[in-house]
Amino acid sequence: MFVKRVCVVVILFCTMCLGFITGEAINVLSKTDPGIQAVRLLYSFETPEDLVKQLAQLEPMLTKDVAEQLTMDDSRTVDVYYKFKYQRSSVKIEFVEGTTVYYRLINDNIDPDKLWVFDYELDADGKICKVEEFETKVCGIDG
Amino acid sequence: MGNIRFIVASIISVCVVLISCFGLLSISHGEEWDGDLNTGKEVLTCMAEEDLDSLLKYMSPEMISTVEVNLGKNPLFQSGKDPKIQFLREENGYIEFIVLDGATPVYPKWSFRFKTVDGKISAYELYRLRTLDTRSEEYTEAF
Repeated sequence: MFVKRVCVVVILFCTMCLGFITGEAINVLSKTDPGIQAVRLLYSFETPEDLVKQLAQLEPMLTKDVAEQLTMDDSRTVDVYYKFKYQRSSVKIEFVEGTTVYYRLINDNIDPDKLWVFDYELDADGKICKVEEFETKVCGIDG
Repeated sequence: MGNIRFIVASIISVCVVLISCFGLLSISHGEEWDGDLNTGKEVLTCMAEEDLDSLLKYMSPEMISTVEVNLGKNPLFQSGKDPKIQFLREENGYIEFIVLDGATPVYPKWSFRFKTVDGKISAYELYRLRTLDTRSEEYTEAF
């Protein structure tokens, strides 16, 4: 009887461990992709304070030119918060093709069907040295 | 003897649970967009050249009806008198390109994501990408 109970506990434990490991693995994999990280830091936030902190986190990941291009300062926080109509926002990554991240913005004031693109390049130091952002227009989805 | 059987059964159960979880995980990540590159390029060329007969030859039977119906909405199919496609990035399942009509780019950039079965397109997504300049007025309007 005791052995059976132990086995049930072991099975439950293994299942929980597997779930945890899988979750963590997915989390680690998405965190290690600089493009996904950058998109989340730029567009996923609850409050403007979050955004300020996130931009500070993002800045060391960028070269000086890219930081300038993305206007990594307070004006960006104000702009983004204004554009998002003072509502929290989150990012749903749709798919990643190499260094191109396709994502949707989850925000009450942004069309959730719009797909956005963050295209980047990394330099030898692993910093994001080139960024192009796109808005997509879907021309055909079949199959 | 009974205990040994139970332990063996438990181990098998754990293995089944683990395999099922990995199976589910692979299904959720198994939607591979890794279509044959040459087929993808041919299809895009056919679309740009408005060559419907050739285009349909590259489509799987299930796709043919939807392609015929949706072509009217496909701007690549009406991209100019003498359109030329210039491929920017070519991978199995994913192509980025620009369309040149004479010397004028019709749209900044396009992307084409696709699956193939037996050398025929079984699903595709076609996007037009509009550049977002974070410092421009257009950027604000895009949101």
